[in-house]
Amino acid sequence: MSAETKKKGKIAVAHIYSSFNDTIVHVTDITGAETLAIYSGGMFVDADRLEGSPYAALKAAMAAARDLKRKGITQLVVKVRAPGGIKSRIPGPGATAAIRGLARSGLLLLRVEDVTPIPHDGCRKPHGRRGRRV
Amino acid sequence: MPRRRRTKKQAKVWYDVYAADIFPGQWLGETPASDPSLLIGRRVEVSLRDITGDFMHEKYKLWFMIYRVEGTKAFAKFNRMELNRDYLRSIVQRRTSRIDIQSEGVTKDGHLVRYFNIIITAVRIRHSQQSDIRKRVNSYMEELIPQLTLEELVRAAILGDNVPISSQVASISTKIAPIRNVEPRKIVVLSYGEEEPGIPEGVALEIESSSPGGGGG
Repeated sequence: MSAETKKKGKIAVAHIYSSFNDTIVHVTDITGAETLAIYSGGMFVDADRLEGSPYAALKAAMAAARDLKRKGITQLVVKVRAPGGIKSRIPGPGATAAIRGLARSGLLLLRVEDVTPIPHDGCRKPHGRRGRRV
Repeated sequence: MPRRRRTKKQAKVWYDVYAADIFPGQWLGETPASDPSLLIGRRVEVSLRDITGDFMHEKYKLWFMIYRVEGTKAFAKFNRMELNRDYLRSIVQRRTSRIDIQSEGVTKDGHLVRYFNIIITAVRIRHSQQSDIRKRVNSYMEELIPQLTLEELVRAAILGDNVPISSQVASISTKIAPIRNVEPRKIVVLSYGEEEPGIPEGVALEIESSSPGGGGG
């Protein structure tokens, strides 16, 4: 990190886990060892089906950003992930909303990267050859 | 029943992390801890672009592991380097071959490292050609690693200092098949030698005079 980056304030990492059922915004320091803020979509809506909605994600991100400002953090590295593995590899609807929530709260986003766990060769998806029939 | 009085939580101290090797004295970031002993073994992830400022270096990610703490300054040594996932996916294409080569060796300063090369060919090639390339590159790498220190090896891989490893690997393998791209995909320190990097000079002076402000590199 350059001297200019240092002058701008502390850096943290926002780990955003976004599935179709929930969005979790977990902010840690750059080593990932210390949690600075953690909020999920379910903390802001009543209905289970709304936990993964963009509105809940936005609320969670803004709550996290409020905590971060209090702790003197001004810059963020964002790591977005979907469930991955045999499940969806595309982040849910809350991912973009959460990123927008962090950016709108006045935090400087240094970079956004996808960290979805992708197996080199994993297990077989459940529900047989014809898939889950709903 | 009286409520149990909560003991006041001690505020965590933020420690500045500095690189001890590869980029000596480079400020990497800050990390909080309630006790300095908890810092040992934590790994800091940085993009090479953040250090050099060159946008071509966006594709390299580096990890440094904290091994020593002096006052509110922590020192980290090189632990791992990886290629950015986005970049890796952009260079691997259909109708070309991707050859992964893992080479292991002990560096001149006694660290056991594993070096992963990735070669992308211009056209799809036969398996016999692939294994031939793998064999030749492996023997070159196994000869090269003991000649360099860890710092020299990493700097050669990512910045091309002293030994241009990727172009050497390309010239070895291009005799067998046309090559489009060679990259150091990953470098991992499997176990450290006894030698530890010292405190970089610029930061050491700061500790003595305990003046505020950072090292910068």
